[in-house]
Amino acid sequence: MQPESAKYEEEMPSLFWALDPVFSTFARLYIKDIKEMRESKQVPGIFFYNGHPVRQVDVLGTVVLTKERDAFYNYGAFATQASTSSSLALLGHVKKLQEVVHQKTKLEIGDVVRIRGHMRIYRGQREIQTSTYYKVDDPMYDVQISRMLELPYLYREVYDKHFQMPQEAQSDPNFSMDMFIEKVKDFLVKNRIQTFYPQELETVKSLVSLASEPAPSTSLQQVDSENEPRSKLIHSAFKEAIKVLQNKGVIFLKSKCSRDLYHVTDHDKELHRVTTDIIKADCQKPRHAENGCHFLHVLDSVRQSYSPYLTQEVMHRVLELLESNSEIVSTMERRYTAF
Amino acid sequence: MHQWIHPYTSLSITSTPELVTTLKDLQQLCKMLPNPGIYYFPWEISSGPVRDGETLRTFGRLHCYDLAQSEAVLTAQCNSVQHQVRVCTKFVEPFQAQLGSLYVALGDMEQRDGEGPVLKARVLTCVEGMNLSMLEQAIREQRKYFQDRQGQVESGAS
Repeated sequence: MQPESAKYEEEMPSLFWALDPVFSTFARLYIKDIKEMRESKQVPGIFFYNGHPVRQVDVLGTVVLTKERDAFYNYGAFATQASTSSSLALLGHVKKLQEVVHQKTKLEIGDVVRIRGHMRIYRGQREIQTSTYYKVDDPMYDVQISRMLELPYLYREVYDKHFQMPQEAQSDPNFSMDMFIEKVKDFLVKNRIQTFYPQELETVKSLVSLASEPAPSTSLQQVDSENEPRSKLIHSAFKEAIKVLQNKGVIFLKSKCSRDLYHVTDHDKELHRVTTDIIKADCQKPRHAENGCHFLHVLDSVRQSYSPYLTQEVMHRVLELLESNSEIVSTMERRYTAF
Repeated sequence: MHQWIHPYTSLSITSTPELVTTLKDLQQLCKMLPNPGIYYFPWEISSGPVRDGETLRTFGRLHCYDLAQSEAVLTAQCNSVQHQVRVCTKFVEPFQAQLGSLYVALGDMEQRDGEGPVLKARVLTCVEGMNLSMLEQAIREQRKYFQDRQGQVESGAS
């Protein structure tokens, strides 16, 4: 029988760590567990307890060993030059303040202390790099008793439960459609591609390897992958990506004849030129001179001159691009002009 | 000249001071760190499942204190039976001995020839006003959790 721990030998990818609430909290773990936690292979300084990534801890304990340090940090400023009488008074006041602070912060063996900090390994030893600590006033032991009662509950309800990733992430732990779409977009933009056929995109090795990443985890997906050959899955991934990018206006189909030829909005020089020309020309007309051309008017004109299938999303993208290049200026909401 | 402690202190559970220069020093320091003190009920100490040298925490009312011998006796009741724990107070003196008050002790067990077990206390704290039954419950809760966890590990490994 496979031990439960083996299931989680594979670390959760760091991309998903922020989804686990334990990662964002100061985890209240037993010191024993803090010392035995496994360090992440992905990011040193992050540790794993039962598959949960732990960054910070909250500990309540008794001081059993102190080591005097010769150097302490000085904090607070002293008034220096002053008349004799008032400086004495000031010094007396400051000394008293020092004593109080000292009393409240200096830790002795036997003191109960509450610590929050993050974990690190220093010279081969596990340490908590403290960000806050305070001496706990616990004359009747109730803080410690509460803590003793709280921890088993926390462990049972949170730490010992395996982290359930939310559905969308869980269905594609390694392959994320969003990520793939992003990569396709990056590829088109970085390589200054003006037009492409989907089949051409499917020959790009780097994109294909992304699309063919294995291990969907839900049983439904497993059934699918057993029936469909890998190539079909890759093809549908590309199809989905193209559809999404088209909806967003990143790519478009200029005409229905060459059905498969996609244009990349950002690199379609002719479209940019047509748009700029239309705005320049129409802004001279009395109708648009004062306020600029309305978005819908521009869209209409571009559709007449360039392509009747141009979508609003594509138009938006073009206008944003032209504006960021200072070729056109937006005068009011959804109105544009050129000089 | 007085100096104040900066609140952003690196207070380590395994304290490694910056003055350590050699590996040997570091090893020395690591040996110095005492073992964690598991909670035991006073009646468990007298009946003997506790080993010599074991570090533990326990509690009881201060029954008597012999300053000359540096020895105190804590008592606790279980099922109408009084149990006693002898505590060596050498390391925690001077302390204000309040007879009849509740104390929590943390220290190492020592088996003395012919004398029975003695707890060499490193921490002895008066906790008069503590809810004794709550502490007992908390100890049981903690033990139950660890037992359950151990049980799960063992069944998972089979």
